[in-house]
Amino acid sequence: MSEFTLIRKNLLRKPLRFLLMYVVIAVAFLLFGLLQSVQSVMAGGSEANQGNRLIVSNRINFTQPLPYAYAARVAALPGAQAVAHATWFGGYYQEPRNFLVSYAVDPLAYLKVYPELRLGAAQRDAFLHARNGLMVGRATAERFHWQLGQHVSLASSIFSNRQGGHAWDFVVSAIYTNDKANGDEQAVYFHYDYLNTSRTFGVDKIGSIVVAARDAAAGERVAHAIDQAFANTPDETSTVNEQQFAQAFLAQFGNIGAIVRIVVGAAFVTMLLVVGNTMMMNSRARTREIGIFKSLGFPRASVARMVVGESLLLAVSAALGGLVLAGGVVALLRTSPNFAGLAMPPAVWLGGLGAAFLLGLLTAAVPLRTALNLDVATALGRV
Amino acid sequence: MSALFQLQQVSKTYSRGKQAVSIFDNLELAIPEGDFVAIMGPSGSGKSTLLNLLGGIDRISAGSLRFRGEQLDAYSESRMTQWRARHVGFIFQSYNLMPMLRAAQNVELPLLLTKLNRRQRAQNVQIALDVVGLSERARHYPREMSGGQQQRVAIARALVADPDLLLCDEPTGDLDRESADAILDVLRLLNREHGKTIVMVTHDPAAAAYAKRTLHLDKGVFVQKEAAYV
Repeated sequence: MSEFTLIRKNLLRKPLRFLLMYVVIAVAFLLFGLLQSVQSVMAGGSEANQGNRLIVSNRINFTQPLPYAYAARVAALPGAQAVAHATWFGGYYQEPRNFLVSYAVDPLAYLKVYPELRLGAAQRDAFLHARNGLMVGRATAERFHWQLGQHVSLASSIFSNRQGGHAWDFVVSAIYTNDKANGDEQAVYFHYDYLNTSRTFGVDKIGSIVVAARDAAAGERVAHAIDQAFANTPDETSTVNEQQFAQAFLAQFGNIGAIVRIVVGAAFVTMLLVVGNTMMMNSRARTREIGIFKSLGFPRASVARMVVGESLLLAVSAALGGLVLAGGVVALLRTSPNFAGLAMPPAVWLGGLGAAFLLGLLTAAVPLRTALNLDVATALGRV
Repeated sequence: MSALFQLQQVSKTYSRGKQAVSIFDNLELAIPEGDFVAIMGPSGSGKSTLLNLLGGIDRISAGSLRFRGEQLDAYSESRMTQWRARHVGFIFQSYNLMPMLRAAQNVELPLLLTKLNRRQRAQNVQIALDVVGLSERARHYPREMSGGQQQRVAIARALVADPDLLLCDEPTGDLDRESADAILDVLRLLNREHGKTIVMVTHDPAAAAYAKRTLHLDKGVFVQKEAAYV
């Protein structure tokens, strides 16, 4: 028998109580693992964006369009190495729940600005030359079992066409992969001209302009020059780098980081109260036993190790259980194309285990103080 | 016999609220090595307090308490804990076994404080359980044993680290006569064959009869001393 055996036996002596506390902590860390994974993927995705790419959008709001002519004017500015434009299509396949990240773009320019989108030469040619060609991310192609050459109909939640409907017919011309880790492989792209000539409103308007600058430093100068060029016009621009734009885009759904912190914080405080209270009651119920250990000659350090060890063992083992469960859920979700980029990075594991360690120490604090200050004679009821 | 314990002018007071309650005042006592002394007396006479002082789980308020000539009352808390682990074995009325541990594990507890390895600890546990006649119950939990068996496990735990002194607080108080006699036989064996010094607090004259002598304590004063060797 070792001290660890004692700690383990103490912890497991009331199996139902242990199970309940274990579940409370594990569920909280399951939540922690999932939310942190989502947040880290979002943060990682925007960090993976290139610092020298700029997004030009309408200063009022990025949902407001810009005149088509702006793209050429931006391209003419010094420092802009490559320029493309993209217009949000708001597309879905068959029914709105099959929502697609879909853009109408100028294909050649767009592929130049986004070199990480990888597709074979034949598919590239096919996409560039088919007016209704659709370039599909690998994940989306797998999700809907689309094959090259297949005709698909995508509906727009924004635009209507001149045939009086919302559906556009496309041919899957290319399926791309992304060279970047966690890079997007879900979006679909098609020719701007196809949209522009068939839509009933918004003609010659574009959603945003993407500018590739030489480097990040040059990007700042170019961004300033662009916004200066369109100052005091009906459509003033706001130019930011890609990472800032992605963060602003996410911010429209709320501050994900703050939401994660609030949810995890609330769960942590609740856990602290529940587990701390239980450990304190536990400690009070075991006053006599602590007195016995002391009467047997167990020094303060041993008693401290037993009390703290029990809290730590509970917190860390339950947290590990919750994190492993979260890892399993993430792995399961990754099999779905919708969550293909989801991952639970080492930082989430380390952060979770660190929080569990802290939880163990905090919940042990009061029982530890009680145990160390315990008078043996009083504990044994011998006064 | 040389004195294992020497108490001189020992006083002990407790504060209850704002009131100071005196338990002993100038108590004198000598306990020789190898003694088996029973301490009897009515409730509140100070028997348990005396046992606490001898076992180092309580401190004297004044006077001198020596163990083999060493001033025990000058020990720090940590040194007292070490001293207790090395020299004292406690046997309580209510056994005080750890319910989540098997008999052998309960007996092993004091050995966790030693440098013995696992095999040596197992040997010592086996010997201690043999001494109390309970080796066949080594893997049983306290709840699976009778009161007498639990107390024998408690005795095995008290003696496994080979202490010089066994302090017994009503060790047969919760047992029937037959079980009590079996426990007292073990204690007498430990005193006679193994040379353990035993101080036993009891209300039971039949239990006290197993001791070499009986001291009667009343209101913190020894009122009668006997040398009734059995």
